[in-house]
Amino acid sequence: MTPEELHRLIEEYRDGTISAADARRLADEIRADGARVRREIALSGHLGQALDPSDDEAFARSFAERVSAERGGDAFRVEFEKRSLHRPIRRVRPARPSIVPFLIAAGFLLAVLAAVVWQNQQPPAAPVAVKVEPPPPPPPEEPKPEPRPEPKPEPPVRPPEPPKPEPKPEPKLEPPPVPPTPPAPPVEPPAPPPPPKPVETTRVVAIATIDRVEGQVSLKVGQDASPGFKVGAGAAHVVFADGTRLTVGPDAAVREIAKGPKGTRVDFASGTLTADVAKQPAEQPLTFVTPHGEARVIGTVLRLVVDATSTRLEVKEGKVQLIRDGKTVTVSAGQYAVTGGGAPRSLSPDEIVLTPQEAQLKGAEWTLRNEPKALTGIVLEAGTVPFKVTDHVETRPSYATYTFFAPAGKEYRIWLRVTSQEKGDPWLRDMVTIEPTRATMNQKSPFFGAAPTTAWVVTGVASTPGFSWVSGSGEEAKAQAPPLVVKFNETGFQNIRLYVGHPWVRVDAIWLSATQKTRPNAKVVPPAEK
Amino acid sequence: MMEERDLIRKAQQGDRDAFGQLVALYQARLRAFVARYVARPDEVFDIVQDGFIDAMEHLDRFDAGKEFGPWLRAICRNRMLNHFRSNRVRQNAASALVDAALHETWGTMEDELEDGADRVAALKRCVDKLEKSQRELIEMRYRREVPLADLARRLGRSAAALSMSLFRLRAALEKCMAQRLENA
Repeated sequence: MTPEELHRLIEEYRDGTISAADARRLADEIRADGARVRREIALSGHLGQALDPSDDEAFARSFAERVSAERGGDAFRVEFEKRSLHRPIRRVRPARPSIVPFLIAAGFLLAVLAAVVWQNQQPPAAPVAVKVEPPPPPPPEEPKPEPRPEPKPEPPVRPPEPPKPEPKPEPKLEPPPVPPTPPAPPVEPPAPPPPPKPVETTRVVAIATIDRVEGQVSLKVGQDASPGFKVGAGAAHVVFADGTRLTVGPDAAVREIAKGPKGTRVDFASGTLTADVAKQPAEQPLTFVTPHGEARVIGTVLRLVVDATSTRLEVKEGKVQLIRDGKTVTVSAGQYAVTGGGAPRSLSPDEIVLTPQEAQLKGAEWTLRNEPKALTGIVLEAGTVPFKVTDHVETRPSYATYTFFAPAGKEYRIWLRVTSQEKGDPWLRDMVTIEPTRATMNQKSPFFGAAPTTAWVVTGVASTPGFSWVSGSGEEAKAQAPPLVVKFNETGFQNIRLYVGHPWVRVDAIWLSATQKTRPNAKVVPPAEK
Repeated sequence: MMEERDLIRKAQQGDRDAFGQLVALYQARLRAFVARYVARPDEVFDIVQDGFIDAMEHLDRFDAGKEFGPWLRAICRNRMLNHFRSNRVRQNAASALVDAALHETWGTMEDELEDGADRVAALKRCVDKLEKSQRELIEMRYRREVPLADLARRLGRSAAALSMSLFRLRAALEKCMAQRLENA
């Protein structure tokens, strides 16, 4: 096999487009000369690493945040960040007079450390109406000229065979311009608010592509995302040329992604969208347009949930301007805001309802399934696992994660709407493990002995036919089996993970309630967040 | 900075700061090691983080008389196996044939004992020397993982021509990398 041919086959294998005949030839080549093929594959991986902007600092920061989020290891996180980060992390907040005494007490030498701690002790977010700023000045009309290439101190690397001139004198890694398309018809909510004025953009090039898909999604990896798309029972990951990444959840709809002299616009019609936005030019922000307002972003991590009547914006890092009817609200890290309804909603909700569509699935153990009897028509279904329910969950590779906003210290009873598809021995079909992170539970699961974990093996899933609400054991009517109560340690984004206990268990909704203190009847529908 | 042995000993005694220093010390090497087998940078990132979490959980099992690097690589190798297993269900039958062959030869190569961090560092320097259009092409393909057919459509070229351009660029980069490693 010639080197050129080997290269072609490996590239096709990496794209998943290799034919069966070519796959057999490549497999034979691997068995005959594995080192040669490995070298080629390794070069691809090492090129990816050489080009990856996530350097030592990004890795260290991400690892520390993950340990903190998943293990509640505050001491570890603080110490780790203090030693491992070369400069303060990205989440920088403006100073406030109220924290000055704290900073003084912490001491100058621990100023950076104190800032990190302070970030995690923020009070509940301010309501939407708390801060109204005038609309920002209009951005300049003219697009910025292309930056000039920087002079290179050394001659560029040339391919061994100088290629003949390319068909295009200066190949651009963007698709050819496409004519403007008429905007999609607006989606009217039941009580239609005045539609926000869209950002004036001209669609010039495809600026985003489908990077990865999960579940039952008809989109293709590499597909141009600019004309908009709908996600089925799965998720789509979109990547922009500048590194911005979107995760678009189940049943969500993006109407259009466009770029123009005034910035980039994502027209988001419905569903849940999580964004990690690369730093944008100040005069060319990335703007998410929903039926209820606009979120203008310079560079941050955020989450948007759009339903028929409202848009909920949660900001994890940085700041975002939320705009409606000419009024602007700045939402900072750890806060959220809701627009589209009447009065602003409470920032300390009594009821939090988590649906399967919101779950981020890792690994293959959980699958989204259509289920007409579910509250939203979709459930999470457990697959088979090599683990026992008594195995510690910390090292398990597959789980479903729900991320949501909740205040610290508030007591929430945990209710799961669940059922089992397995008709056999009920002892083999009625368990699922739930793990709130950075939280305190009122009970400790007997399945995990003395291990310091908040994970709880929920039993009683199959105690009644069809769906039922259970908390810790399905026997919450008894005084000796009180429901699970969780209190989160810090105000902000919280995570709850679900691990497969027994296969064929189906999980509909998870309801965290400050008011529902007794086990609900199976037909009870949790109230909307309030 | 403390010696590695001291860091490991302190980490085993519960000193998480010491473990943080070990993460900083080994993360680039582990990422380069995993990138030998896993091309997508975001997947490499996840696998190495998972590996460090495992290492943190099981540090008491590490024999302090042995080398720490190979132990970490063994953990990451297990993580990679999990990764491949979970990927297999999503792949088509043809790709699974190649995967099977790769797994058969897994661990038989002498050079797997190296982590490849020096190769990544050398490649970074070589990539910086590329012309802008070449760098963009390499970036779209190997960092952003844009499929070849889509890339060809965007550039108005045939997939075969683009594949050949990438082949030449890779050959040039590999040569540049080898020279840098030799001169290092």
